[in-house]
Amino acid sequence: MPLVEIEDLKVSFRQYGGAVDAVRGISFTLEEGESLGIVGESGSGKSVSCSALLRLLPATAEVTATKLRLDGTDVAKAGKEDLSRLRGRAAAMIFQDPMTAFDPVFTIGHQIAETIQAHRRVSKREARAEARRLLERVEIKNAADVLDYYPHQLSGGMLQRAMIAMALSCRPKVLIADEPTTALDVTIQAQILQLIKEIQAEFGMALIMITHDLGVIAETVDRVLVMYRGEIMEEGPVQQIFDAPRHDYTRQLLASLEASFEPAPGGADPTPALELRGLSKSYRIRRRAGLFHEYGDFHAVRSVDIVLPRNRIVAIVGESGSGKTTTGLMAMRLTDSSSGEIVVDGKDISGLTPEALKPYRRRMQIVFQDSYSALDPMMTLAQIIAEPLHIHGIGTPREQTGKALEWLERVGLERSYATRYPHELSGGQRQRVAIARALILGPSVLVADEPTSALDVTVKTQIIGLLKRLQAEMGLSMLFISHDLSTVKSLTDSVVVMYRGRVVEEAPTARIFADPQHPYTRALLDAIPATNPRERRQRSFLSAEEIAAATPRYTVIQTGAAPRAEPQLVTIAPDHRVEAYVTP
Amino acid sequence: MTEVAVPIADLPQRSPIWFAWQRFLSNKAAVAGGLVLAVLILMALFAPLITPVPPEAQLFLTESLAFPSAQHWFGVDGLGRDFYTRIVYGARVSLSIGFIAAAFSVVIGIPVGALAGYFGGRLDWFVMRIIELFSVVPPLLAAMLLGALTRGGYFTIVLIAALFGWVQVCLQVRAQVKAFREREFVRAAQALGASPWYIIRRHLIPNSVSPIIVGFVLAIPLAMMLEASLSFLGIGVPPPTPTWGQMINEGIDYMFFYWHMAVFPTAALAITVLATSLFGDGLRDALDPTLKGR
Repeated sequence: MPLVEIEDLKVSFRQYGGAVDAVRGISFTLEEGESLGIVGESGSGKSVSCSALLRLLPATAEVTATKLRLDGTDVAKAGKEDLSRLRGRAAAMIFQDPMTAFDPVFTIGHQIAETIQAHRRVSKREARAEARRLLERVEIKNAADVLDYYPHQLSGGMLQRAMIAMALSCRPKVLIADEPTTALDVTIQAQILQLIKEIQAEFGMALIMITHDLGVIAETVDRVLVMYRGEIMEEGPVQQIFDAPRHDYTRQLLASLEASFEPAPGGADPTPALELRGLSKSYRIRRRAGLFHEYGDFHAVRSVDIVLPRNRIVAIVGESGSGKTTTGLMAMRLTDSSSGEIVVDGKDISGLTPEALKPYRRRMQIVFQDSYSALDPMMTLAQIIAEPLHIHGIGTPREQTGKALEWLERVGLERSYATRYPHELSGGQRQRVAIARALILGPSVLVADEPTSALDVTVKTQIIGLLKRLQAEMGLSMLFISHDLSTVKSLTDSVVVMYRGRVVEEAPTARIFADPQHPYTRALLDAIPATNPRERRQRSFLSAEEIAAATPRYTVIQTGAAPRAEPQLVTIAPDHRVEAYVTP
Repeated sequence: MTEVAVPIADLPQRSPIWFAWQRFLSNKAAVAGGLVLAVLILMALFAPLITPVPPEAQLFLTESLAFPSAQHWFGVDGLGRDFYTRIVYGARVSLSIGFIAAAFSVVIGIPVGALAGYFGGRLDWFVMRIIELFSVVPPLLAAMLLGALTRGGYFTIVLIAALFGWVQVCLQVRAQVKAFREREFVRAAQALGASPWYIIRRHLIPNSVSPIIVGFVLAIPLAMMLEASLSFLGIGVPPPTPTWGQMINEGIDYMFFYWHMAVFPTAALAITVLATSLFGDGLRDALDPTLKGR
């Protein structure tokens, strides 16, 4: 008998003035030990169907199904005790955001031990010992200490590991992973996916992997369901889905993996559009030392030099905390830099007063990651897009609205959207509005700070396409900040890799992907998810110490740079610089 | 549980106000409070049309202290004045003091809160210390002192009530501004070269409109209670202007013999304050659903 049996599942949510169908009659089964991937964009009903399986939906949801069985129990008729047995022992779930999945006021050890005690009759001491064993199993090195940590003391990747340990604590027969790596960096994502696969094999569990990322699917599962608008579009073995997709939507998804663009032609003018010289940012932090406080400096960004030539797209990549966003904000003068110069059209703007800066504001604009908070919820789209004109006092209100409407069309939205509010739009549509607002003044520099990382794959491709088209039309120079290397590969002309506040490597895109020199760059490139299940491989991961130890070494003769005890950026080929030790 | 995403494209176009209105309508107590408040306001506005006799005229001296009857709905007071008329005119004083004081609170609270929230640092520290000062002093005691020094009067009471009412509005606006100034649309406006003043005026205050409305409505019952307390103690609005506090004070002397003298003004005050509070709570829940259950 299959472990999970779902037949004709329908879920709808009641809302003011009607109901919204989230899932429209889907059926699937899952055998023991099998791994199934459910892929689809947000709103396609993939999370909702799995939540329905554990009866985790809010009271406004109406669930009907001819069959909804988990481990031989009818979920729809299950009582309280059956449900608590099902949740945990039959199926356990791990979520996208581990930060909100843990209770911030209890320690990790307490929360895992509590889960163990809820399902098994064991003493507190035994539960704690078991929790420790589980944490060790998910490759947390200092498990004994982590037991007494609070969630905020752990990084996202570590928390996700702890979350997996908690899910394992009741020996579930099926593990439901709901976008488990979406909130994580590429390198951490690769580690977590590998861990999930190992654990699945070791515990003999079945796995349901819910994701919008085909790379994750290619890495982990045997069988795939493709969902779109609450219906199953296509179902089959993972290799078949990738090799011979039958449905249009699946083809569209696959195409988004392999998007590529013409490189920008580059400008004739040799002066760069934007140049950052020795830009750094440090924060003063206060530590208690006995009776007194001592002050230390935290270096978020250490002396970064980046050149953005005209009509080019330069990527800044790196994990979270590497200082790439801070660099972008400093370049825009949204965060004050501690030292260094920001040169726009040959003039250093790092010390200008707000009034003197205003004309430069027209030349450089920014698009943010979170399109939801980037638009004022109380303004209509026309007002939002026209705001730059309003601030700079360009044209009459009528002309401003007219121009806003033009831009609405230019970014691919209908004119009738002008009177709508941001909350009525999807993430991709909101990002389009944000792009229109950034470009309506006709800037020459655009900083795009992870503009697509919160979006679905197909939407992401559209937004990237839009950015690229507008870049070519307007001759924009773009600083593209991202941790998504596949996008970087297809879109940008050159890449700057940042690691712990420093630039560790810088080269034209093709070269950096073909011949990475710095160990961190290699680690980043190695972590890119496969684009086809055939490319699955075992990965080895480097710790920070190993990366530091593997820093390349060159001699003075090779580089022409003066020897120094500290690693420094050396030029090893035209336009290719890498951080390395220079020995005499 | 992760958030359940629902397609919105096929729903008709709706502004945030529409959703707030739906939430408000589903709160029965708040709707009832609002209706009662509306009736009271209409009553106060059209007082001369409802009762033909002026509130100060001692027309019924021969019937003084009469119990409620068909002729005098709430009876007659010790000085021969129609008690119903006095209650209706009392609503004018209570409500107007409530609304004007609340308006003053908002006028002081918005700029102070917005500036403290936006600029933070030393200015914020200074404002917070002043707010703490106001929250440790018991309002009634301070009001009594100020009232005694200035010998009461309508506008003194309005000012005293505003002096203690702005603190709440200020705190709410400050919290909202602090939360929103880190949002990326504020960053985007800064990147466009907008001045702080523009950002506060065009982005932060419109987004604080719900706490402002709520602060305004919840300041009304506070001011009304303060006025009633001061008038009850004899340092509020001087007679013969009818106010409920004064009437309760007079009524207490007769309470065991002529119940209507104490019951009607007390009930009027209680109902008005309750209705306003319920209405305000409902507005808060409707305008800011994240605050619900606090």
